[in-house]
Amino acid sequence: MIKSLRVRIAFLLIAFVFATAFVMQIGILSSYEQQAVAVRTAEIQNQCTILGNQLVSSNYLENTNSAVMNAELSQLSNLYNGRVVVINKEFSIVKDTYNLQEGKTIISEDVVKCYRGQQTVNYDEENRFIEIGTPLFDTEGRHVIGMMLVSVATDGIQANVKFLESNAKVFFLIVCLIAVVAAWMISLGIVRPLNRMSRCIEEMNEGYQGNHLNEDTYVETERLAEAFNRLWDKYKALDESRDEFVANVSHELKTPLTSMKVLSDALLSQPDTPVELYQEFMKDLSEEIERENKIINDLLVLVKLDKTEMNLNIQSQNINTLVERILKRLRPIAERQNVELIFESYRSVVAEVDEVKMALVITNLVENAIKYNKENGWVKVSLNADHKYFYLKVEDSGIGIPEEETKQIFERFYRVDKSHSREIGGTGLGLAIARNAVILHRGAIKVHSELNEGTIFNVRIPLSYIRPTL
Amino acid sequence: MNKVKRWIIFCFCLGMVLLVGCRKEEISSAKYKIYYLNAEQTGLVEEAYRGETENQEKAVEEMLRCLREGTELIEEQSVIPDNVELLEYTLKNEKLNLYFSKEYYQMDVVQEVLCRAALVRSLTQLDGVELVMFYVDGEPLHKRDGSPYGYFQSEDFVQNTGSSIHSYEEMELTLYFSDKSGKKLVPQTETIKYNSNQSPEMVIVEQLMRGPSGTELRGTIPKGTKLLGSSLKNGICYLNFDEGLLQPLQDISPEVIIYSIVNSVMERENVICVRIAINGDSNLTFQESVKLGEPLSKNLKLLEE
Repeated sequence: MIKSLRVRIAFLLIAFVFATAFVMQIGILSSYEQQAVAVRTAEIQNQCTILGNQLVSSNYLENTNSAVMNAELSQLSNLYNGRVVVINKEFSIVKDTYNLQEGKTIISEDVVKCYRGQQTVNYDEENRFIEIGTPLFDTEGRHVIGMMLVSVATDGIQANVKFLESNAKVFFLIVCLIAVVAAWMISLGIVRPLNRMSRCIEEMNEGYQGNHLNEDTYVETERLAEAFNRLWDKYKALDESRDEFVANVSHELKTPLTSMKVLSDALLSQPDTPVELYQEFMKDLSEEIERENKIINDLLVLVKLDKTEMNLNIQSQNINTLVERILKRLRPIAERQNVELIFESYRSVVAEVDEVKMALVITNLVENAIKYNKENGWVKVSLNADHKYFYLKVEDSGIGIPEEETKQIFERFYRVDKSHSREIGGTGLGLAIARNAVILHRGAIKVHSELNEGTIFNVRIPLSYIRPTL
Repeated sequence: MNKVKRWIIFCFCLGMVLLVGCRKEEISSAKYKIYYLNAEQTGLVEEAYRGETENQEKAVEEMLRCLREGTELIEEQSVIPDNVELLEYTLKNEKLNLYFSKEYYQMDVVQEVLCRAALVRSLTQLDGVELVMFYVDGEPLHKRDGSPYGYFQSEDFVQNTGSSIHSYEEMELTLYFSDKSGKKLVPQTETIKYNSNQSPEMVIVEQLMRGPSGTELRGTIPKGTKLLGSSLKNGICYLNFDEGLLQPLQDISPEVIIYSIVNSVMERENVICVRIAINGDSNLTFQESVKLGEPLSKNLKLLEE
């Protein structure tokens, strides 16, 4: 549940809306109270200034019996639901609209500040009172002759805050409800393409191979679909090449069998065949079996090369001796075809290779060079190295390969001249094996050929084996 | 090494916290407080006083010395300036007379008031000192207009909290509650502390709302009722309740409800009559028996014999 993208998106949306609504509520409410108190304070300060001027001009501080001024004071007190205290310059209270402290001396810090000519404002948040102290200046406006203190309850503001709070709560709930529904819908919309993709892949999995994944709602899904399609194409290509390979193998294995069948049928159809004919046919049969055997061996080598990439038997090898040993082994074949074998070594090369696999490469290349050669031709093998790689070059003066086919010669069972394959022999797997072995060594193999003039194979192998990173 | 350091810092912090805690507690729990001038000379600061208190004469002398000398702290100065001398003092019949040199009149108004307040409030705490009188240059201290001040007592000065204007006052109230039957009113006297920013009428109604102490009597104002406003004009006390007052209370007659409010408020001397309104409307009959349209005055018939 928690791992579902949809749930996460919905949760994030809801949390975001909740947080925003909450912060807004708090912010607005708290600023409302501040603002309301500030407005009320300014209003009362204004009233205080007006009343203060009246008090001074009516000489109220000396004589508090003025009915007009007493009425004004109690008016202010009633209007704002507050208390008005008038203090003379000896700090004794001459008028208190609550009749509590008349005649007493008041020495609060605010009163002293007032006496020094400063207007003071205090907001008692706990008991919710605004306390304002106003200095009363004489008619010339120079000396403080008294103070007026006004304290006003802010119950009205508090009632407003309460009302707004309860209102805000209702709106908050509504917003949250909307947010929950909206988050549910939006999250559904957002993950819909992903669901579509997985359904599509499921269908492809069930075997509707022609399909391609197509989802361009988001850049991300588009990219994912493209990557998936590439993988899918590769997989299909692999599948096809495997089919083809199986077809080729079957065909190649069938060819010697067909020959054998023909030979043995021919022998059986004649009741009294001369012994010479028997022997000749049996020799042919033996050759075919030999060929079949060779194909199977090569196939096994190839499959092993594909599979055993990891367990190469890497050792430091002198490549010169290796090449010389192989050439020595192949010389009899070359001599039978009257082909001259030349080895040209520029320097002594020691490299980290798997001896058996490297031998396969060299043997296959040289063998091919001898086989597809002309009468009195030559094969030249040269070996060179720099600080990183060694280079093996196999040149021949053979029949060459048409340029458009040079790309395919490394494929399994591919043959340039299908009609001559029988008489030349071979399995069609040699170059594929060579290429696989080179690739296992992280090397490269290239071919360059001129028809009827000769072919050059260039092999490049690193001197020190590069371990594949797992 | 590091660990030792950390421990030292931890202990130091703990010590600081304990010290600060102690100091605070000291002031609020001390039996006597002594007042000094703050650094800005705009107010007084309290300090715990642990001087001699057994012998009256000695106690006065020691406290006067403390007041004069002040403390070492910069933010606490002595309230008596250096050039003013306290020549002598006499204590007789709980009346303390303080004789100052004539430089006393050189203080500015603020300093003089603060000095007077600090001396009176500090000294009257002592047993055997009720009243304080100031003499300057042999004459009783006089106001600017020449009329002399009399004896001062602690209550002559408003007991403010902090720098604010309001103070906490004590008031003795007589509140009328319903008896168990709901037909009669019974007075109950209570002494309460309240914020001087609240009008006394409001305080009375709030106390009524809180209900009686003890289980003998019953409250007369329904729970949740709000007093929207109260004002006093020309001796008429206007009380404005919200509709909560209209909720019927079981077994309590409407007269008892209304007159418990009226009688209680009219305990204040300057209230001549009371007008009650509900949501600003006074032109109605409360529970069909009490007319609120006219001013109400004390009803003594409802009192228990």
